[in-house]
Amino acid sequence: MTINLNDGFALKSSSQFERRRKTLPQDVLKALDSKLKFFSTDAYYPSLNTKCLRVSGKTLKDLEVDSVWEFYVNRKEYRCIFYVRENEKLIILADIGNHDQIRRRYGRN
Amino acid sequence: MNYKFSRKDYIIYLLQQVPPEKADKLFLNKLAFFVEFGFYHLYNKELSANTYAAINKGPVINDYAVLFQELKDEGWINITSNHHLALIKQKNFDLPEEIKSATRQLIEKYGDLTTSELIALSHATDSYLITTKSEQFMGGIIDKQLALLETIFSDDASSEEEIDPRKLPHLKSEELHDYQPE
Repeated sequence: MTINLNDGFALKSSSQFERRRKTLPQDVLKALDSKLKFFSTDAYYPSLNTKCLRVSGKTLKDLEVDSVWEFYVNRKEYRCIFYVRENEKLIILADIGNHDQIRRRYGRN
Repeated sequence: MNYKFSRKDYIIYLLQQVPPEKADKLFLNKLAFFVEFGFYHLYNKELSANTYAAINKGPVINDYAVLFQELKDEGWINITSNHHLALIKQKNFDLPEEIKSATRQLIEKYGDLTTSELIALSHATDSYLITTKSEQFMGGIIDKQLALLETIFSDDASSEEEIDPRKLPHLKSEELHDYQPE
């Protein structure tokens, strides 16, 4: 990926993200806030393990986004999924959950 | 998993787990740091009552010289002229299985490294770099919660295979909010 997430992108969150954020365990919430502070200044901060997911062009079009990414909140348990809309210079925090929650919501089976 | 080593017990426990020939002061300081912070990263709980200072040698147990001297004075260890720590007597720890398992894996992982490798690795930890502001300020106590930010304790698993992107939510512009950090 050549997109530079640090190049003046605005950060927005979805209602779903905000709802789920409020239900996070206190320690995870604290870790998320720490990580988002890093994310706001450097989306590639090493601790975040920011990674672009492989998504087909058709799905990206359906989602009305240019790419789908994720970063980790704490070790490999909780992660945050976010979208990028390049033309709008927008990063959208789409969802957050632990391994089981993400698998339940978006798992292949 | 509610178990927390006292400062001295943690050192005794580590000394019982590592090859005696490797147990010098610096090695033990680094091992203590990596096992403690690795444990905190995994379980968000303190493993011991020790705190860690960020000095020019990297993270070390706060007041480690005093701690080692007290262990010597109490007859637990000998300290040789080349800073080697030799355990004199064993102690039986009645630990929960989860503690045994978690610490065993961390001790095996980091105990296999040389002192030089541990020093180099410890200088690159986020916990140390954040506390020292990239090595500009020394002497601060490292907040154990910084362990949550570390990537060195994470396995590099991929999530791509498990997510079906077609199931991801379609988000309408009108339901987006400016993100406000707490």
